[in-house]
Amino acid sequence: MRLPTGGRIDRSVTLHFTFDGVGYTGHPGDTLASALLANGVHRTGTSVNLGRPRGIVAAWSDDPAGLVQVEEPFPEPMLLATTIELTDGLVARGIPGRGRLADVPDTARYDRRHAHCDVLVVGAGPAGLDAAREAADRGLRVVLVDDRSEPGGSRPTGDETLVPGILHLQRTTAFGLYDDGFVLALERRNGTPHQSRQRVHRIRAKHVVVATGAHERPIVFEDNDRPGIMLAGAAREMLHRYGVLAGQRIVVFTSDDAAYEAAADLAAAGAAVTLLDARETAPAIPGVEVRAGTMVVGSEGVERVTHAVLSDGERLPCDLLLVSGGWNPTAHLFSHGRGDLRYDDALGAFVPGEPLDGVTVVGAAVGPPAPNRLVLWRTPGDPAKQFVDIARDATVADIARSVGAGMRSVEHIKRYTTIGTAHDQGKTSGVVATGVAAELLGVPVASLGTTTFRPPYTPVAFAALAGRDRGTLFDPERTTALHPWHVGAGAVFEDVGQWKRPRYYPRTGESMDASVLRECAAVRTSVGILDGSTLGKIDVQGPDADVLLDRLYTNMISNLAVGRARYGVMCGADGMVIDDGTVLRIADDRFLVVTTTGGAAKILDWMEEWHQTEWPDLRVHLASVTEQWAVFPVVGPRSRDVVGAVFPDLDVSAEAFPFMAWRDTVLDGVPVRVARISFSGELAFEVNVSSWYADVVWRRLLAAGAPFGITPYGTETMHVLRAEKGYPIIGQDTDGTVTPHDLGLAWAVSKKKVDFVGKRSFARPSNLDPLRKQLVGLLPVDATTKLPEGSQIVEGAVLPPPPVPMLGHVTSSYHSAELGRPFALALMKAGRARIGDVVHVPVDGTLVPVEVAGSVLVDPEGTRRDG
Amino acid sequence: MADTLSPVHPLQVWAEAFAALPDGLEISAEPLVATSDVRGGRPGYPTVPNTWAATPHGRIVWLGPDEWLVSSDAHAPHELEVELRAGGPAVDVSAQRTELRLTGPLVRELLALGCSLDLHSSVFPPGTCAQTTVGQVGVVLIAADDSFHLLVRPSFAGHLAAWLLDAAIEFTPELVLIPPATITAPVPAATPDSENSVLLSPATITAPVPAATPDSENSVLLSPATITAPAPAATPDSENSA
Repeated sequence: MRLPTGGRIDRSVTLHFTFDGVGYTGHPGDTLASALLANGVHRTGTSVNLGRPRGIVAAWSDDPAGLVQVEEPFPEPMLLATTIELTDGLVARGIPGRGRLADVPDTARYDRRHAHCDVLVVGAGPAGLDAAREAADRGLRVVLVDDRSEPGGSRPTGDETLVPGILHLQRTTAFGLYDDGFVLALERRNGTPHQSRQRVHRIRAKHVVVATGAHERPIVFEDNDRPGIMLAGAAREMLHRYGVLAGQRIVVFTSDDAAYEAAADLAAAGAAVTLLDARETAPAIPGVEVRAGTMVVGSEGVERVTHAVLSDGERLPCDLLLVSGGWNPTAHLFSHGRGDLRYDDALGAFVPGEPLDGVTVVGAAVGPPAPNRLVLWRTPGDPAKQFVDIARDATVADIARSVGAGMRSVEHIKRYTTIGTAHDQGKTSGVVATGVAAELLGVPVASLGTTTFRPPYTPVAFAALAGRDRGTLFDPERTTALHPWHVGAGAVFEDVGQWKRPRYYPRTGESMDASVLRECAAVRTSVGILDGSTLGKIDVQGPDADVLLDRLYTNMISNLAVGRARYGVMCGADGMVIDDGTVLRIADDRFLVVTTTGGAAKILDWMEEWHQTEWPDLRVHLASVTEQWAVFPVVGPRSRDVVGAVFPDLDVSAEAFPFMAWRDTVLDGVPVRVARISFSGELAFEVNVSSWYADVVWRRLLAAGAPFGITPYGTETMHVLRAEKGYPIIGQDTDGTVTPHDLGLAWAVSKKKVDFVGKRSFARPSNLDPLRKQLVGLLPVDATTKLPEGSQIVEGAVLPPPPVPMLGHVTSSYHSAELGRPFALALMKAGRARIGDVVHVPVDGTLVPVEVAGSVLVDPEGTRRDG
Repeated sequence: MADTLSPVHPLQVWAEAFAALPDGLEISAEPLVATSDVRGGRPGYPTVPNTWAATPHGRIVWLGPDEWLVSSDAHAPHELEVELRAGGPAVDVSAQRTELRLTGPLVRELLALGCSLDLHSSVFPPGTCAQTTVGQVGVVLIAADDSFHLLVRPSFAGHLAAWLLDAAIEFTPELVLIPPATITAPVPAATPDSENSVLLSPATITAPVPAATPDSENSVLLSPATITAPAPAATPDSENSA
């Protein structure tokens, strides 16, 4: 029933809402729960396992029962009616313990914000406001957060004196405290749609003041879960905050003095109140019938409580049954910070123990006063109907069962019974469960302790945690300087790490296979061009640059001449290949190391780690220049014509510009470096230019290549061309268990160098095993089947009984325009010794015969590289 | 062919979107400038960690006990490297990063939405710098007298631009109907120059980006229109067909 006056609501405005299909009204300042109670609705749904009717128990986030599904404005499952601020048009319904997720995208914005302060105060009740004021008066930077809609704690008046000059956030729940004063808080902003609906504040505080008050807890009795059975303080809060009298004939059951205030306030508001006090002597208060030495041992009523059943057998009629079993400090944040909670016998509650550095607990969170408390966990009755965790339908009988099964730790009891694991994280049930378990075990409560509080203090939507990291902002997409050109050219992109790389450039209506065959043919017969700018590039300079590189590459680098380039392989300490690429010697004391696209960051870290931790004496400096240089391989028999036309100052003749050499030139004042490096076996020139000029140089190359039909090609064609030559891709043809020798790269492993990373491992017996898997080519005998990558290789045309011996697997597989047939690369046991053999690969249930071949299938003599 | 090569700024396509930002927030792409990564130190370089110093033609940014970023608008990139290498290790990184300038009273609030550092003027005053992240993007963050500067790798610059514009919606009530996290890079109109027409003549390049469906409702609401990837209609093909 709504009272004509009182509360922090605005009666001049009426809000309409719908619950379980029925229209109701409420006012600004209401929660859904207070508006329902104002309309006489206690029952909100049914319980998750037993299907028992359930209603509103508490007045805020500690409510274990009043879960609802919100349908409008946006579907959200399992929210507490007590924490939903009433809005016009709200549509909600009660749920049978579980809600449903929205099946439409959430159009609201969510974000996060970083804040820093000297003092973070959590809770804007009297103690929190005092703490914030004191800190602000000392000139400290202060953040004050409070989870309610207005400051003032449990009894807001609207006259609270706020603290100027601080960041003060209401509707903001500090839900986790982590190391070093790092606190996460969720703000429900309810702003306009261009603002985030919810915001996660990431607050770094030098000092945290916990002023979070206390939670009332119930006394457990039989059938204590019916709608209309609430905590005494909750009914009092409904009265004072919302002007709602939750019942007319009220029974209050308590074992200490605190609930007397609630009883007196409710009586003064017009209710008939009977107070049952478990203690033998009880104070008298005006307007309330007090019965000492009396307990509630049961209740009646199906959809709503109708009677309290008393210990003397009386059935006392009521429409609201209030319970108060004492108050637990809300010490969650203290506990998140690894603070120990200590059981206080006099208070009958767990309170913050040894102080934590950087955390101060004040106000009721320290331990609320407990005048003359009789600690009472439950009254006599059927344990199977005495609910400890209403949210989980968990009873005293469940605790008894876990204890009977031998559990002695509350942590085990919690996991066995699920008590304290629901949306409310046991705010009303956790300590009661300890008390009941202690009683059943016959041990002191202090010896059991309580379960550990963990973040989040209240449920947090994944949408809020994701914030703006969704849609196009989910993960950065890295693009090269040519990206707009690729888009304009209709490229189909491939994700390579975070990079967007053109995979192929289809003509209208052209399939990927057809595009790739066309691109491959163009490169092998005329000229193609690739955007290779994503390759990792590291500038290495200093007098000991060659020493460092000699130690990190398997092959010799120090004898490389200035002006020349060399292919190199890097291995881990285990001798397995981790990256490959080319090294250009720029000067005696300077190199450009080129890594794979995916290895760029990793290899720079790898080099820095060895340099900084093992060889700090080396005079060498490393710097990433990956994005400094745009790289365009111009590839194919006509590449010399194209490069020669664009760079007239460069002598591109085979004599002046040999394979694995690089030359600097200048194009209209801009330095350009051209290297004769080939990843396809064809004559090729890699054009390197500052990425400022990527677009214009690319266009000039295209223009110069137009007479030859220069064809931009993507990563797929690049893969085919390199595979035809048996060039491995680290990470595709290798998996961290492959040595250079396995890849046929023994020639790139120095026998002269005293040491290099990985060298020792090559002498291990397993690395000398003749049955190691080696990189080979596979040619399907039918010359038509393209083997799926990842396929296993088996010996015969008929499978033996399992386990079938596996010879290896396919690592790369393509159609070859040059060979006019499909081919594959594979890692195969003793592969090189088996060249010419026919083995089998299962494809769609058929064993396909394949001939083992060398890994170099196109131009094994290398006649094409010089054009 | 042209006699000089024109550099292309990685953030060029975002200029219009930046220009449409609300009062109190100004984001602009800074001109490309010669920059070298310098090791070993030189006299007069800042030695206090996370500080930078202005020079007549640029700045010197402390990156580590042994590493600085030196910029100069009085040098060509390779000239700066050559000059600095006379005194020790240095490498041209002019194109390795690109620079955004953020000004206005909302800047700290904007950055607080994605940078975990304390940017309060008492903690991060002008003259301070840091290597940190904004959103998910690594940046060198520089505090100047009345602006913040973000040095970002060009490959990440588009993502950062989209991130900043998305964050700025918080301060832009008129952009209310942009769905969350949908900003993508504007696609530039193809430059109608002679190189292009040569380029476009071979049949290899035939797929123009489809023109945006004209949607009057959208174009009104998104009047800072560049924010949601207006597609170009300027390739020769589509001009012909129109």
